[in-house]
Amino acid sequence: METLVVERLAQFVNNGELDARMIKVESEHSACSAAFGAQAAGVRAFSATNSQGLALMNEILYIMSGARLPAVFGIVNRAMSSPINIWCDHSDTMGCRDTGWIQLYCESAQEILDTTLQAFRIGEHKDVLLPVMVCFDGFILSHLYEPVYIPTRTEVKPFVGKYRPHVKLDPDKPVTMGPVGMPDSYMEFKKQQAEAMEAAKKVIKDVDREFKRRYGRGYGGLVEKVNIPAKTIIIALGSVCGTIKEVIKKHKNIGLLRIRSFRPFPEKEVKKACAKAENICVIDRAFSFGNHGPIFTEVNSALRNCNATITGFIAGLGGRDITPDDIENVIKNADEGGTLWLDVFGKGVSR
Amino acid sequence: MIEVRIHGRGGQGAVTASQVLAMAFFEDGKWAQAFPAFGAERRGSPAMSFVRVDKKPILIRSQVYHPQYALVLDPTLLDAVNVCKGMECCGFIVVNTKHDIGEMHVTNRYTVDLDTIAMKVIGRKFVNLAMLGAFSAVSGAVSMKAISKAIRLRMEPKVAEKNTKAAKMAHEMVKKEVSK
Amino acid sequence: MAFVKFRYGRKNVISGSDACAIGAQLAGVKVIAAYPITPQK
Repeated sequence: METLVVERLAQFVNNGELDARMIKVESEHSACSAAFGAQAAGVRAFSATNSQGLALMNEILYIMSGARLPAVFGIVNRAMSSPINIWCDHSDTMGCRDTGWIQLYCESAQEILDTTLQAFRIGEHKDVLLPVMVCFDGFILSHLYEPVYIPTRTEVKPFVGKYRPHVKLDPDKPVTMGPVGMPDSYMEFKKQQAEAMEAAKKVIKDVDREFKRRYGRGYGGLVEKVNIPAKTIIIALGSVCGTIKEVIKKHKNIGLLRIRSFRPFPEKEVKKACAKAENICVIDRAFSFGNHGPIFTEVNSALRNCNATITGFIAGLGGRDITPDDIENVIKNADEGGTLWLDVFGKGVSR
Repeated sequence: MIEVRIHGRGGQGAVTASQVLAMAFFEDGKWAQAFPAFGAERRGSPAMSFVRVDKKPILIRSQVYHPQYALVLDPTLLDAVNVCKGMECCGFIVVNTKHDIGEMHVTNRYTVDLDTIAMKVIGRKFVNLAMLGAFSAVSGAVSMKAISKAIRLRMEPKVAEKNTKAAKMAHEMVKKEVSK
Repeated sequence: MAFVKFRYGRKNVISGSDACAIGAQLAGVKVIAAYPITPQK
């Protein structure tokens, strides 16, 4: 799946439509290492992966973010085996939510193109300097063809500009990159990294606002709000938000809060949007075995001082389709509380 | 909103046909989505692809369960899968075949010998894009001008020319049947 | 890999994967590292 992204880029390189080097490696772990090396040497590095491949490069993800290198990776969200499953869910990126990468989730093909462009500006911002994952649903978005405005290079040049690293590996100006951080300094590096991720919140909003100003297309920054405030709010990530938008048109008093930036987590925006809601429905396309869905847990934390009933719905794992009827079921069970599984063992909802 | 399901076997180009059809609808000023059924495609095994069309941008991203049109590229699929699954009886089904297709709950049934057209014009039994010409005649939902444009955008030049010709022939043949 | 002619500066019917690749192309990425890849002629 991710191979489609890379194959298209390989085609561009071979046709002379992109002046870049393809580095063919033997595993995703090496792909991330190669991207790290390239970014450290001062160029924009890109890769695309998902699922087991993303898991395989896990240790290098920490190294990339800790070294504050703003590579951009396209992640085509797919389930984790076993059982073997190549279809959509968010287990792969949820599984690396602590690696220090910015995670942006897209709802449409247009947003994928625009967010990929934005990702370079966000990651490379001097207050951020963090790698970015542009996440989109496997098959549901990766293999879905729909109308997209493709800007010209001339149009986007003023926005995306050139990569200007303040430090890079250069024999003429030697620096040490990726040294040891002893116990007496490691924590300070991590605090700085945390502050960078916090600063990314404003940068993500600013970059999206600038993009909207230049090109007329914007995505709400950290979150997208539809019919908010509302009595019942559905919170979700990714392509399912399109289906939700269509279903709530027929309802009064149901809103959607689409989380676009999962890392950094938009705690303030979630609190503000849900302030007056009675019921919050959180749809998770992943599950943290032994607890709840990851978004459910983080939303509960954000809304700890809020009186709303929060119900978690585990849905769409391993490519299980989330239909308009499923969303109606979510709405019907909005005041149940706790965690429900959607459309499992032939039951609409079950615990 | 119109939903179309294309039935083929892996390697027959059902997925390509859905992409070209979506492109054609777009050339005609509509919004369209095209996507394959989420099964691992193996050469020869039944495959499906879908197209969704509307006048305005389509928000839903679930699968197609109740298509108005089913296009069957390979008649042997009639014994292998239920090509009418989820369809209303007023739906339309178009099958590439020389033979009679028998009774189905779907009342609007069309057969067209795309194999012969393909062999004559393309030299190989690639009927996936010719089928779009048949669809245009049956549905009236997309113009041949748009289909020709879409084929040229999606396929390499020499392949595009032959397939456009085949699609036009299929269109003419089916138009005669529709007007009967 | 599927042959598709992209027309820049206008709307095209493309896949989400294409959209991501085109975004990276327009940003002028200099290095693409991945497994597995099959460079197309």
